[in-house]
Amino acid sequence: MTPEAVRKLLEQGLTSAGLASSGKGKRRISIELAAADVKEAVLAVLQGGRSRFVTIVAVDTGLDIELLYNFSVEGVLITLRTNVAKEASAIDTITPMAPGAEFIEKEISELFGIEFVGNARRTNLVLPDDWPTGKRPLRKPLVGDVFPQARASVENLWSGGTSIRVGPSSAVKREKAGLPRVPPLASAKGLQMQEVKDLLARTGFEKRAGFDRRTGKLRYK
Amino acid sequence: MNKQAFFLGCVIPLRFPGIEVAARRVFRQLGVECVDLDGYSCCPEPVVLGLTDRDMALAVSARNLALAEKAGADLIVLCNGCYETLAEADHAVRHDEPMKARVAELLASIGTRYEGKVTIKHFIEFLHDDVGLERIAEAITRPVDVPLALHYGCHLFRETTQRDTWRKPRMMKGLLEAMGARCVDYGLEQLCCGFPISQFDKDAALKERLLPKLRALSTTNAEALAFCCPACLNQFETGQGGVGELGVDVAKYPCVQVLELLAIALGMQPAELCLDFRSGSTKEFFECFWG
Repeated sequence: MTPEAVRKLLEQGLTSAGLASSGKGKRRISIELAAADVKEAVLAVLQGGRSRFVTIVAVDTGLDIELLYNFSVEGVLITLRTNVAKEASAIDTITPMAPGAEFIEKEISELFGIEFVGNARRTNLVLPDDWPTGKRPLRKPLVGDVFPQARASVENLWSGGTSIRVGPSSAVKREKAGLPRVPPLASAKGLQMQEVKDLLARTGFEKRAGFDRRTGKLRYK
Repeated sequence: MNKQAFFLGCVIPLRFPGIEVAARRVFRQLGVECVDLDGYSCCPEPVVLGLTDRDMALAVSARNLALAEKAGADLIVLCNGCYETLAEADHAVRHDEPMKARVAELLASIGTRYEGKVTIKHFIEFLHDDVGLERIAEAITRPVDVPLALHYGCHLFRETTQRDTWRKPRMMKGLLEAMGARCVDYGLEQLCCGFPISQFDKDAALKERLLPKLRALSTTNAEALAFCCPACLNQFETGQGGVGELGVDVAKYPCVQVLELLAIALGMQPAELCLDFRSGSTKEFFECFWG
């Protein structure tokens, strides 16, 4: 089975929207997908003939815990990659499809603080029984690429296109100076501001920095 | 020659609108028609944002340049930091092929492009070279006959194509002298205002940057400190209050921007400069000499 055939097989088996795949070498396939699609993807891989679950690798990227689900399908290593936001820190277990994942999910849970919802194992595997619940040895604080002193400026840039906040006091000052309340900034024009935001996204900065579009702020203080 | 557009930056229009008023008045009175750069964003600011992510900073900067190019305008930049960011982005786009391709791709994704056709000048440079000191001196109705110390600001020394880093600082001094000011040397003109350090350690910024400058100034007869950079001006105006809180007894100085002085020299009244919001004794300084 060629990697291309595996990819096709996976694509046929997966109906999840937004699935992206990329080949990495002749006998490796890496597929990035949303955390909500992992179960369905695992099911598709394991239904694909002579395939077996290998392991799960966890990486703390600062903002998220990246999980790499590895499978061997007729000698081809398939890696399903997903990011679990630290704020959520939970994902469905894959043990109904891959019972062998029980112990590695539990190990990741203990070391990185990710809950695998539905994993039945309760007793600690690698940490002492009296280990404090909130202390996860391999988990770093929630933080992105923006250093503390730059965070306010970055949030201002994302929300208003300026390094300092466009607030009511600046409007009052400008009015008193006989100027329009708002300078000719992108933030005064929706389409122009959207261009700035699109650039922040397309350079990858929005993701690296860890913006939360719902709040218009960084995911960390 | 293209038309001219102001690049106002963030600090001037949002914190010091009086400087924007002065800029508009000065250029109009000197016969230079300047339009606004509609839809511009932060340059982005070179110390904090520029160091956070180079790709992002260049792309955002190039978008501003693209706006000017599309409007058929050259830029007159009112802020030292904005000047450095825009000039360096322009230089990168013109001379760094991989960066040029990357920026072109990013700009194309938002439906625009930049072909490197915009001339970017610091306002000091424009007044000195394009208007000319002679013409400025002729237009002055009320000379600024006051001893002034100068703070150039680090970014005024930035050059992208020339080796003479004193080119623009000399122009600043020449411009003030053309207004009739007596420029006072104090030996620490080049020392940073401390704004970048203040982002990490406010006390160190005051003790290692602001305080030595204030002590050196106190040995002179300067009546005020002249700036062309709004970030430096802000650092000095707010920082002088902080020095008092450190328990250090040192003379404090009014902080004035070159365009404010030029506006006064061209006949504007202090009351028109929106000085009520300024810290320290800046308003009193203007009213004392020209009120």
